[in-house]
Amino acid sequence: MITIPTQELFYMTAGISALIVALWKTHKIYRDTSWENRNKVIVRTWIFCTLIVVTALISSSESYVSMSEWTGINNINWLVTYLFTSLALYIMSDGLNIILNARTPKAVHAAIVLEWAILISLFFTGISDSHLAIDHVIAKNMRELLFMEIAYFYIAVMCFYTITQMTQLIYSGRELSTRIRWQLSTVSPVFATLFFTARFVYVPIIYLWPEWDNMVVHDAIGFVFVLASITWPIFYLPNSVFTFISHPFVYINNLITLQDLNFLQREIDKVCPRIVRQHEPLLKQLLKLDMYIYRAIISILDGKQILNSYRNDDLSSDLIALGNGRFLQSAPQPLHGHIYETLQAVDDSNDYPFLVAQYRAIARAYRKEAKA
Amino acid sequence: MDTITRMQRKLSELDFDFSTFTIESFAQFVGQHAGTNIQFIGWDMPPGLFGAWVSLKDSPRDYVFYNKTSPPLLQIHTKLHELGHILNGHATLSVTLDELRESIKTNQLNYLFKNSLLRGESGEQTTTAERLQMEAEAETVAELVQTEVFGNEAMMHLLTTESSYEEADAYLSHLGLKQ
Repeated sequence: MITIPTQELFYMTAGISALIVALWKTHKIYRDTSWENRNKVIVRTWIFCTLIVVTALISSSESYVSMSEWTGINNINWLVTYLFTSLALYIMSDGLNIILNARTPKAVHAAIVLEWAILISLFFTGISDSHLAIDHVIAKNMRELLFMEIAYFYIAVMCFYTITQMTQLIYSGRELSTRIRWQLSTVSPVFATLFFTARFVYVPIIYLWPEWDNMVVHDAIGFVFVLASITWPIFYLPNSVFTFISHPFVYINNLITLQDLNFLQREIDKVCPRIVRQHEPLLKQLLKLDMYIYRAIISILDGKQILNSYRNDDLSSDLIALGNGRFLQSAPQPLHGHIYETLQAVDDSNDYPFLVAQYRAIARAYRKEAKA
Repeated sequence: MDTITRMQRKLSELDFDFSTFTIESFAQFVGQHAGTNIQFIGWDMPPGLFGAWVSLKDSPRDYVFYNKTSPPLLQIHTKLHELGHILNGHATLSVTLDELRESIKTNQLNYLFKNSLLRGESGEQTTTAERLQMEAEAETVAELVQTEVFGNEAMMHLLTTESSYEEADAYLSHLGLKQ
C-alpha cells in the first residue's frame, strides 16, 4: 500500500532544506566586507529561508500545543505561520525583482500590509481566545473561514506572481544554464500555487457542506504541498549544478550553431572567398566547437565588411577589396546582393553571445529561404 | 612545407606563453622579437582596408592601424593579422616620423595606407599572387594564435578591445595619432 507523505514530512523537509540554505547564505553575507555592499538578493534569500525555518519549526502538532500554553494565546502558531509565509513570499518576490532590475509594484507592498493587518485583527478578535485547534482545513466559524481564505488567497497569488517573475527571467537569461535554473525553479511555486488555490477552493466548500469532506482529497492536496516542499531548494542550488545539467544541451546547440554558421560562410565564400581555408577533420571540430564558432563569426564579419566597403565606395584595385582573411575578386553579381542584405540585419556592435545568436538566426532563415 | 606548418614553426619559435595572452602583451612580445616597439591605433580606415602597418624609418617603432569602426571582435582579429605580417617580416610602407606627422596634418594618412600595399620604399607593386600569399601567412598566424588562446582558456581576451596602456595612449595623442 502506498502511504501518502504526511504534513509532518513536509515541515521536516522544508525546515531542513531552509536551514541548510539559510546557513549557507549566512556564510555568504558574513563574507561580505561592508553592510552597504552586501548583495541584496542574498540578504533577501537569507530572510526568506529564516522565515521558512521558523514556520517549519512551529508547524508540528507538539509545537502548536506548547506555544499556545507558553504564550497563553490559543492558535498563535496559525497566525505566525501565515504571517511568516506571506512575508517570506513578499521578500522572495522583491529579491526576484532586484534580479529583474525592476521595481516591486506598489500594489505588492500594499497587499502585504493589508494582509497582515486583516489577519492580525481577525486573529485577536475571536480566534486567539477560541478552542485550540491543530487542523487548518476545517473552519469552525465564519471568522476562521475568512482568516484562512485571506491567507490562502494572498499566498496563492504571491506564488503565482513569483512564477511570472521567473518566467521573465527564463526569457531574459543569456546562458542556457541560467534559463534551466529558472525553468526548474518554477516547479515549486507551481505546486505551491496549486496547493493554496486548492485549499482556497476546498475550505469554503467543506465549511458549507461538511459531508463533502473526503480524506482522499486531503491527501492529494497534502501531497502537492510535499512536492512543493521537496522542489523549492532547487532555486538555491549553486550555478555549477545548472552548468553541469546544461552541458549536453549547450554542446548540441553549439553543434547546430556551427552548422548554421558554416552554411553562411559558404554563401559568403561564393562572393568573397577565404584566403585560408583549412579543412579540419570533423573530430577536431567536434572537440573545439567554441573555437570554430568564433572563427566562423570572424570570417562572416570579415566578408560582411568587404561587401560593405564595395557597396559604399568604388574600389579600384587588382583585387577589388582585400580584408583580413577574405578577398573580393570581382564585383558581386546581383544574385549575391541578397546575402549582403541578409547580413545587414545583424547589429555587429552587440556582445559576442548575441552576435552568435543573431548570425545563427539569419543563417537559418537564409537556408530556409534557399530551400524554398 | 605548407603555409600552416611554416607559421606553426614561427609561432613555436616565438615561445610565447598563451595562458597570459592579451593583445597588448602579445604585441609587445612580437615587437621584442622583431626588434621594434609596436603600437595600435584606432583609425577611420579607407573603404576596403581593415588594418595597416606603417614602419618608422628613423626609430624602432611600428604602428598598426585598425578600423576603429569595425566590431570589437574584428578589431582584435585585425591586430593579430597585422602582427602576423610583422612576425613574417613582410614588406610594408616605411616612413619617417616627420613624414607620418605631415601626412596626418594634411589628411594624407589614408593615402599612405593605400600605398602601404606597395613593396617598401622601392614603390614596386606587389603582384596579386604575392599579396595573397602574404595575406594567407598573416591570416594563418592570426588563426593559430586564436587556437592557442582558446586552448589556454583565455578567449575573453579575444573579445574585448580595451587598452590598458595609458602611457602609450598619451604618447599617441601627443603625436596626433589618436583621433
